[in-house]
Amino acid sequence: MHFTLDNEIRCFARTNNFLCLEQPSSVLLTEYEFDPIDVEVWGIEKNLKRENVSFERDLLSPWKFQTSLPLYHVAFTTPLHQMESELFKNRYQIFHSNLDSTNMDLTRANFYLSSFVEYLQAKNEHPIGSELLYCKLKENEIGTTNSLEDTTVNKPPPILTYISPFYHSFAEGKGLLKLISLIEYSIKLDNSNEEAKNNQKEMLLYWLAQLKNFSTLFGFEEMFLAWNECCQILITAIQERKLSESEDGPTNTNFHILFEVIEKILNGKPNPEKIKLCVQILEKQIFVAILERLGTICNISPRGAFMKSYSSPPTPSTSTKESSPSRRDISQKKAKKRKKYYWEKVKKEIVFKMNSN
Amino acid sequence: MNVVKGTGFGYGNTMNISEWNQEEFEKQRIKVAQQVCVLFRIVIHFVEIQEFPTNETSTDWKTQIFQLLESSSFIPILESYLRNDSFLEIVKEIEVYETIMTVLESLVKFLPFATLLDKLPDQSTSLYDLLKHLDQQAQQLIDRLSLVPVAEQGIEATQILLAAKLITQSYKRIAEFKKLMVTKKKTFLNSIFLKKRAVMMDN
Repeated sequence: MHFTLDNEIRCFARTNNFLCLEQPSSVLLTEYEFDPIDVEVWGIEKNLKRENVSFERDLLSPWKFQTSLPLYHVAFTTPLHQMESELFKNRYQIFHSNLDSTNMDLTRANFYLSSFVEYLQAKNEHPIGSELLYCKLKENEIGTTNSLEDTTVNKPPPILTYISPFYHSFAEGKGLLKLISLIEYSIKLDNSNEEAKNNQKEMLLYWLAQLKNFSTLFGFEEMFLAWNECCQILITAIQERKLSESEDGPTNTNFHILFEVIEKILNGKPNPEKIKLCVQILEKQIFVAILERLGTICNISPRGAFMKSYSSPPTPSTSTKESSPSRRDISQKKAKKRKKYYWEKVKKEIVFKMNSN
Repeated sequence: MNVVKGTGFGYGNTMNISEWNQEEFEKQRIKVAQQVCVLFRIVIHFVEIQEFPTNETSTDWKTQIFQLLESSSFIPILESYLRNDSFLEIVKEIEVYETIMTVLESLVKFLPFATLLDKLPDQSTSLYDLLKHLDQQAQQLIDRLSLVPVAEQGIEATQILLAAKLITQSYKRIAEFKKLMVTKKKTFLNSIFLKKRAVMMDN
């Protein structure tokens, strides 16, 4: 089986030790020279059992990997910084801000790896169309591979196999993909020990915070307004839940928090299809924000009136003109009301979709 | 005041001329171009997402995206870029044009987005016609510049030639896809008609 890493490849997540790549068609390592001995490839289908891989190098054509297994896991013993600088930094836009190695400790990295493996399993269950390449760097630094194997054996098929359009848009996809895999993971680990649950909760909060930070990724403050708002709701609800948990005792599992928050919006029982739809609806709001942003940047107004009904409410005026406090209060109240109305509308739409579904 | 015919006049405040910063302007232009590229790329992914199964939800999702694209400033932005037939300008924003060509190629590949290239209500010229016009200009440039020996071509001419080739090649691909889409479009419109008729019958 031949793979070539071409310019289609995109990095969608990076941790201290791992580099997850999307492999739409093939793998072709151009402009990057590394020793083939440093690269090991093994497949997920045999529970991560290592397989020897043969490489062939043609000076005229780029690198070719040859293996009998799907190239899901590639271990590069080459340092990550070299990989980035030589292979990805210039050609592929990698966003270092959110997944910087300094922010990601070993536990988180391991968690990410585990959930990613599950994600790959999901792919096997329900092929999505694009192949995935998983690059794990410096395996020795992450400890044993037991945790990986544990996650791949005897697991029920994941309930969510939805890939956001943002998944393909480099950094943006991480959050939604992660959120979905977290939901999946949460359900599976529901019966696990308290320590694991606490780790999950920490991860959940971490990723929600990351989602919230999306707005600063490109400096498009309003671009991810909708998503941020949603995350804020989630975070607040989690905090509230945290407080109530201490009163209720340990009977309530942390992993149901996210579901319950979504339930709040959906007003129904947890349902993967509903969550998927909920994510889609939220994405639509982000899509609207993107289109609006395009119009603002290019200073071109929309063609129709459709946008108005979906667009985010105007933010309170930032004019430097002095106004009386009472007037300012009124305008802020109005803005709050508009915002509330907008989110009510979004929620109504979600509920409507749920019911009609 | 007697002035020779054709002399231009400028009336304006020249007091703030010292505030004009060419470098800053250029930086801003590059920043905007980059942002536009990023946003267009995200739009492409929304158009190209084919992961949804072909059920009611998927149709609904696509229709919603289509409606948003159709009614937003997305089309006028594409129009404004395609109306620009100055290849000196295009060369300066070549990355944006590359992205735009990808956007158009993505649109033409998928229904119902392919219809966005046709003439829309209240639209003077369709995106496809604008692209066709731009292609004609590009073709003329290629014909002229190819007469100049390569050694004598300056950097600017080479860049223009590359930009022109980008346009013509993209147009060629889009035109091919458009032909293929005609049949698909008929089936698609037919299905919408049948759905509408079914609803009317139910009522």
